[in-house]
Amino acid sequence: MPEILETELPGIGRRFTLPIETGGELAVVVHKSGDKDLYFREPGAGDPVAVSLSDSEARRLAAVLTGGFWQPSPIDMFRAALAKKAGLETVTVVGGSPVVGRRILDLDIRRRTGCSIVAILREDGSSLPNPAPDTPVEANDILVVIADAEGVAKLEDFVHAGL
Amino acid sequence: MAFDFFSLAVVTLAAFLGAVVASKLGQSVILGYLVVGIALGEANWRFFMPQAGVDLVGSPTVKALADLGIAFLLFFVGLEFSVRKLKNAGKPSTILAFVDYGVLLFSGFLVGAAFGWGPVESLFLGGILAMSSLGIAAKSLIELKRLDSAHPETEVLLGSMVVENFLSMILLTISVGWVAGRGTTLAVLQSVQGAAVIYGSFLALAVFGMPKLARLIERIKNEEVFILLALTLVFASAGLAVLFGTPFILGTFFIGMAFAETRLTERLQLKLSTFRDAFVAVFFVYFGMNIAVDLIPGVAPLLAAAVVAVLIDEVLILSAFAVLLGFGRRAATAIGTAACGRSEDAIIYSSLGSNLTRPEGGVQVPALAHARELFPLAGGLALITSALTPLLMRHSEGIALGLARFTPRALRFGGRVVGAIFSESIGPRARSHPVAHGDPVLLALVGAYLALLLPLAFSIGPGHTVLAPFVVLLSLLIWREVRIDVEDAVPKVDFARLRFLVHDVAGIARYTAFVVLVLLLFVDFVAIEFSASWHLTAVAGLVTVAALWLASIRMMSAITRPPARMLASDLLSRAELERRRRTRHRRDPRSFAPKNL
Repeated sequence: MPEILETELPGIGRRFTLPIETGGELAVVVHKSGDKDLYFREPGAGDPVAVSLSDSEARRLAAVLTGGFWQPSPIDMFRAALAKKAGLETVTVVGGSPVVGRRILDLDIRRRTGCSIVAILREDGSSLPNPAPDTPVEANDILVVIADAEGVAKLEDFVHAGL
Repeated sequence: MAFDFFSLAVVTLAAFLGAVVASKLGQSVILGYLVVGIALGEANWRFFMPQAGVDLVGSPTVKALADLGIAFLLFFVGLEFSVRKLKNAGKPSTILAFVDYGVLLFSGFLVGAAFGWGPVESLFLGGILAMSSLGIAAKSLIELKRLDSAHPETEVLLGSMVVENFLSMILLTISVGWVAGRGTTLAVLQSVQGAAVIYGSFLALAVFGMPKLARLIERIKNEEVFILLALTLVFASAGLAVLFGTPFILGTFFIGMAFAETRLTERLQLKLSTFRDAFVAVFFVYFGMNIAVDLIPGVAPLLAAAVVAVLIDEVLILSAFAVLLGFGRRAATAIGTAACGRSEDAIIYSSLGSNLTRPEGGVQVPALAHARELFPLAGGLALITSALTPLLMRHSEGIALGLARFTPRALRFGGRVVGAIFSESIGPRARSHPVAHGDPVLLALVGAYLALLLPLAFSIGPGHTVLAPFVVLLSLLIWREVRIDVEDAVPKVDFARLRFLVHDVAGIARYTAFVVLVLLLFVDFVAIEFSASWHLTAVAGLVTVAALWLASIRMMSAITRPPARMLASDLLSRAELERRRRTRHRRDPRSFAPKNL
């Protein structure tokens, strides 16, 4: 994570600068009055976009940013975090999929798609970490796999259409 | 003396009205106070005095509370100001602050001389002109949205105003001492001595005593006890300063500075800000009341000259120095235009100057010959520059383009070469990859030079004769040191950014050091002639510098050539030049290949 840089602006207040990973830079100027200015500059662009917020507006915005109002479900965040950190992906087995009822061993998923199944999350809330090869796949299972993007695409096709 | 509640009520009512109107119009309240003050002063002569027999301007109560206002104001300036901030100001800010302050002080002197003012009066005029207003600059920067890191000059110019604040305190001490002794070396020395005691004791308090004292005071839970202690600190420091023959605001400024960045800062601000707001309003209205309307036509030419001097010094000279330090022309003019504002500092300065008295035939008379004229001058300056500065700042880019068009090419080139070198050693690019680290010898020399400069300027007689050669010798030593340092730095500087070939590395070092030497000698010259017959010599000095500049331009053209002339002399095709510019990698054996940073 890039550091937030703090700069003193005598007579005005302080500035906090956050470089954005996808490019550009976000800066928050905190005035002595408590008012805040938000600056955003796109990479390569000349003049930044700036918004002035009163103290209370800034606080409400901060609450939104920290997830105080609404936050996506934990499982979605877990997936997003997994995908980013370890190359872990999840594939959901819909009901009526041709793979339902068959064993992992029989499906030969590793050879066909390049995906390794490291866990299965069942509909009833139970989870099977490191499932044995003879574990059957059930409807609405969430398969947690280690794979690259190509492998995941193959697995999704396979699970949905049995290709 | 009975407390004059009636006058005070009129003044606070006027301040209230002024503040309401000013905030409705989106102007700073200070301007509102000034304007109602002027109106009230006029009303005083026309109505209150003849009709009601009340003298608002002469009321000791109003005057006392106005003084209290400046005492609190400077205490708060001190609270916002710490040794750490001064240290963090960085080299570009510090250099720009010294240049800005010095140039304006000198201009104030020239303007004063042109209008036949004596040296002491001119010095106060210089003090009024010198201090850029942090408030005006900050307000406009916020409105123009120039606070992000895409505008690195913003930090630099705000930092330089912090340094200027400190310089103005020092100058105030000296000028008050000078007035007290009418220019005798002994009186100046006594005042310097007094100031040294004040500065020293407050610094010692800030560094050694403060943590312990702050912890003790922090334990006070009772708010009444706390307020009484805080007030005692403010008043005692002011009294102490007066005891040592220095202005009282010096004491409150330094006690504020001692408490800056302790855990008490916020509590002090919270508890005392009501006092400040109330009495500062009284002070500004009182100041406005002292602006005699009938004096305004007489002061107008001087005021116009002062405004022109400020604009030339800030927009042209300060911007030019910013270019020499390596700022691009946009950033440089942004610095210059932001420094145009004059406000509370100019007002405080003129108020203190015109309040100085000396005994004459048993009564106290104003010590300055033009004491009454300082009021309309500072007030007018504040009103005009407050209106002009935001305008200039908004159009700083256009001004930059215009200036670039009118600057001779050789000068522009020289500026860019010097800027490229200083940019990477002390300027804006130094923070990421400094090509030269701080040279202790150079720092010591510059420190000694600056320390001797003011005594030289203000002393007369044998002391002056002894100091002068010393200062010139120091400038020569600085020149030698800069030349050595620049010779080390030049090979590491990436001149490719400038888009022209550099033929002569040693020449660049010579040139850069020469520019520094010219500037130093000019400063020496002014300092030496300052207290002597400086009318004519000042003009002679300017001519000398202009001549030296021309000489340096010749030198410049020998080092590098602008692309158009290079085409003819080096027989490079335009396409070849373009290719070189694009690749930014020179293999020409004669040209200078930058080492990779």
